[in-house]
Amino acid sequence: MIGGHDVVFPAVGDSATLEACARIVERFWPDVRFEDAITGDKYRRLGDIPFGMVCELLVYPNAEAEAAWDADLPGSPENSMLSLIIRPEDITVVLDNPQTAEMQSLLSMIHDWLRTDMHLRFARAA
Amino acid sequence: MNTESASALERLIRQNDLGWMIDMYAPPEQAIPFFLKQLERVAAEHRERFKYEATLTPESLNSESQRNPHRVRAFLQALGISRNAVMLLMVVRILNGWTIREVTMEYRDQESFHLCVTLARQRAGPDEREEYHTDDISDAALLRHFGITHADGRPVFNGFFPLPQYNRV
Repeated sequence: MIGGHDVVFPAVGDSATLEACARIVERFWPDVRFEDAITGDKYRRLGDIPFGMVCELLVYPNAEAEAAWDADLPGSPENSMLSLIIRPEDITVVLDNPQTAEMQSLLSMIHDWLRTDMHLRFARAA
Repeated sequence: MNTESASALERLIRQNDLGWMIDMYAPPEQAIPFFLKQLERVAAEHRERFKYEATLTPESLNSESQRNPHRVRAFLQALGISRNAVMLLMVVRILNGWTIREVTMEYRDQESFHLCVTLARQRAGPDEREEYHTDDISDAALLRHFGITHADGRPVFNGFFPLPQYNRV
């Protein structure tokens, strides 16, 4: 199972936010695979994901990592899966180790995107 | 014009709080026929460029709105902004997962405007890029929909998203 570090970002946790985060992960993992954590439905392409119907998305760096998780093999490499969980008031990234350079960069990118998004949403609502 | 398609498109536009697109069109009763024609133009542009059909009808948009409501809202907002089928196709491609690789814009006050957006798949090679050009400054409004972030301090446009619903008519 994932090591269990939860990084929670205040956000409007909707389908747009989930897609934005998935797009960011895809930049780091070009061979990314996706899975709906609730239904188990799998997606090879980001464009195929029904984000409006997903509240927890598992993201694997590649098919090998996905297969290893599916087979429940022991000793999965660190950060070989991320979980993105949306709620109305936030989005959570669950991962093994948020301190690696790759994950620091990824989390920073998500934070940056959300900051701009929140500005757009609430500046216009004011 | 297919009456069912017209009704479906109007319903979709109003459900997304974009009724102004219809009510402010002159005359309003011509709005839906115009937007339906725009959908056809985008589909034709897709066919011309990629040599296969894209399903882009009110019915397909309605179906997609169940799966990805934000994508449909973003596309409808773009439909309300741009009169250019090429740029609307660009929007469709980004919504379908293509990444924004390059944006160039030139503007001279009361003289000229040019915007070029280059897209590619995440794993695409350098010769697999798609360019979308426009000389209509109205299309600059599409850039407001680009997600903005940084990758280790380097600039990134990340996706195409709906603007907040603040224009309720």
